[in-house]
Parts: sequence; structure tokens; C-alpha cells
Amino acid sequence: MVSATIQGLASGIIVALAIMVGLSSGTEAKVVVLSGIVVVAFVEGFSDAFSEYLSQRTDHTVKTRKVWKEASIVFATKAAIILQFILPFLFLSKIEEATQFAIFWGLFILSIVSGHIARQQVNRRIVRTMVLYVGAAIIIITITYFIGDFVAYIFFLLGI
Amino acid sequence: MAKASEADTKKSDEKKADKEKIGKKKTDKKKTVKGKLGKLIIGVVACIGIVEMIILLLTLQLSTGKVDSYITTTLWQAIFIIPLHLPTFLTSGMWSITAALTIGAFIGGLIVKKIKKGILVGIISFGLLLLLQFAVGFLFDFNALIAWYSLISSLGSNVILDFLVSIGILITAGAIGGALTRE
Repeated sequence: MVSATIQGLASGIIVALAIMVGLSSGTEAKVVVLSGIVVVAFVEGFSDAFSEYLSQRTDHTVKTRKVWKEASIVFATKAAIILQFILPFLFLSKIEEATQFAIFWGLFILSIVSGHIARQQVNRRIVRTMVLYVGAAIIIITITYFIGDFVAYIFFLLGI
Repeated sequence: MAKASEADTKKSDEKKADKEKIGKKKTDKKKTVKGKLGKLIIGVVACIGIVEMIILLLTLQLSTGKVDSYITTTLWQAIFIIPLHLPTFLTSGMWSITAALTIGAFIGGLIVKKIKKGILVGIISFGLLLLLQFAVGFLFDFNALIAWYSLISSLGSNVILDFLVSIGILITAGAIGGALTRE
């Protein structure tokens, strides 16, 4: 359960960062970004918890109470990790500064998570795995930044 | 006679082999100590180098041209004082100081490959930054150093708290880096 949770965390962080960057570049509104982060936290937490619940339920030897407990832990952990990205937007006044700090913090957490994943593998290339994960996250964030900008531009052209 | 000389030759050969073994052990030990110290020094240098690069390029947003024209003593003091007063400057929106300390100590920890050494990288880096800050003050312009601390106090900050937060971040990030690459 722990390794599945950790691998889920990596994807959750990338999704949260991408949503945050896309929304902040497209709307430049703090409220929109904050609500996006909360929604992603709930959705990611719920989907991982539901997957964990279904996979545990296939094993009939596991008690129902334990299944619910583990699913709840997965939901709480994932939601907490993603919800922490709200904090920069609460403490920093400018949305650009808050987004930049959240990106740095997210990439740092991602490098720790990916390093931990690499340590569990037989062929332990820790730094290489960290660079790969962080590099992939940066590429995804860059693409979503331009997507957000493009959508805002289209809406501007349409006069919406 | 021949047997005696054979035995002598054998003994001297054994003595030579023993001496070589001892010599090899000493060389191996020296290499290990050098290797350990070398990694620690590289970790500290990497930590401070990365911290200062991020402070110069991101926090102070200086290009090469601007660095040339900046008042030298103030710049040198700024790059050593700013990382050690994170909470003070964070309230002014300078979040990149957190990034500088975290990334610098994290990479230093990755290099040393041990949790304890990662912590040591954090502590030594903090000590060096503090020393360099006072060294620049004493060697070039002590009044400017006092002015910096007056500015920090006027912002309502606690110098001890600033130091504790900065060293805490350096130690934590160094330990995490060391924990990830430990063998």
C-alpha cells in the first residue's frame, strides 16, 4: 500500500502543478487557482482511494474494516500533499510569486518522492530517476502554461 | 647451509609481504579518509555555490553587467546576509531564498551520500556563510554590516529566529539528500 501511495503521490503532484500553472496563466485569478487545487486534491485523493479499495476488495482474506481504513489513509495522504500548495497563495500577495514558489516546492517534493521510488528498485539510479521525474514535470508544466495562455487568448479574441 | 639460507630467504620474503600489506592498509586508510573528507568538502562547496548563484540570479536578479556596476561591499554582504535571514526577507516576498537554501543543501546532501554528513554539510555551510558575512564586514566596511543588521531589526525581526530557521532548512534538506543517496 505504501509504495502504491508514493507512486500515486508523484502523479498527483505533477497534476496539481500543471493545473495550477494552467489556471494562473489563463485566468490570473487567485480564487480560480485555489479552487482548482482543492478540486484536484479531492479528485486525485478519491480516485486513488477508490482504486486501492477495489484492489483490496479482490482479496477476500482482507477484512472490510481494514480495506476502508487503508483507502481512507490513501485519500487523506494524497489530499494533504496536494492541498499544501494552497499555502503559498495564502501567504504571498502576488499570484506570480505564489505560483513560482509552489512550482519550486512541488518539484522539490517530487524529487524526494522519485528518489524514494528509485531506492526501492533493483537498479538504483537515484539521481537519474530524480532528474527524469523533475524533467518530465517541467515539460508538462511548460506545456500547460502555454495551453492556459492560448485558451485565455482564444477567449479574448471571441470577446468572452 | 643451503636449507638455512632457503629458510632465511623465505623469512625475509614473508617479512617483505607483511610490510607491503601494512603499507597497503595505511594507503587504503589514507585514501578512504581523503575520499570521505573530499566528498564533504565538495558537498559544502556545491551547497554554498548553488545558494549564492540562486541568490544572485533569482533573488537579486543581477546580470553580469549589473554585478560589475554594483557597490561591491554591499553586494558581497548582501549575498552572505540574505540567506541567513530567511523569515525577514520572506515577508517582503523574496521566496527564492527558501529555494536557494533548500536546493543547495539538498544537492550537497546528495553528493555526500550519508544522512549525518548531509547534516554536517548544512551546519558547515551555515557557519561559512556567517563567517564570510562578518569577514566582509571586518575587512571592507563594518558600518555597512551594522546598517544591514539595523535594517533587519527595524523590520521587526528576531536575528536568532532567522538563524534558527535558516540552519534548520539547511540541515533538513542536507539530511534528506543524504538519506536518498545513502548506500
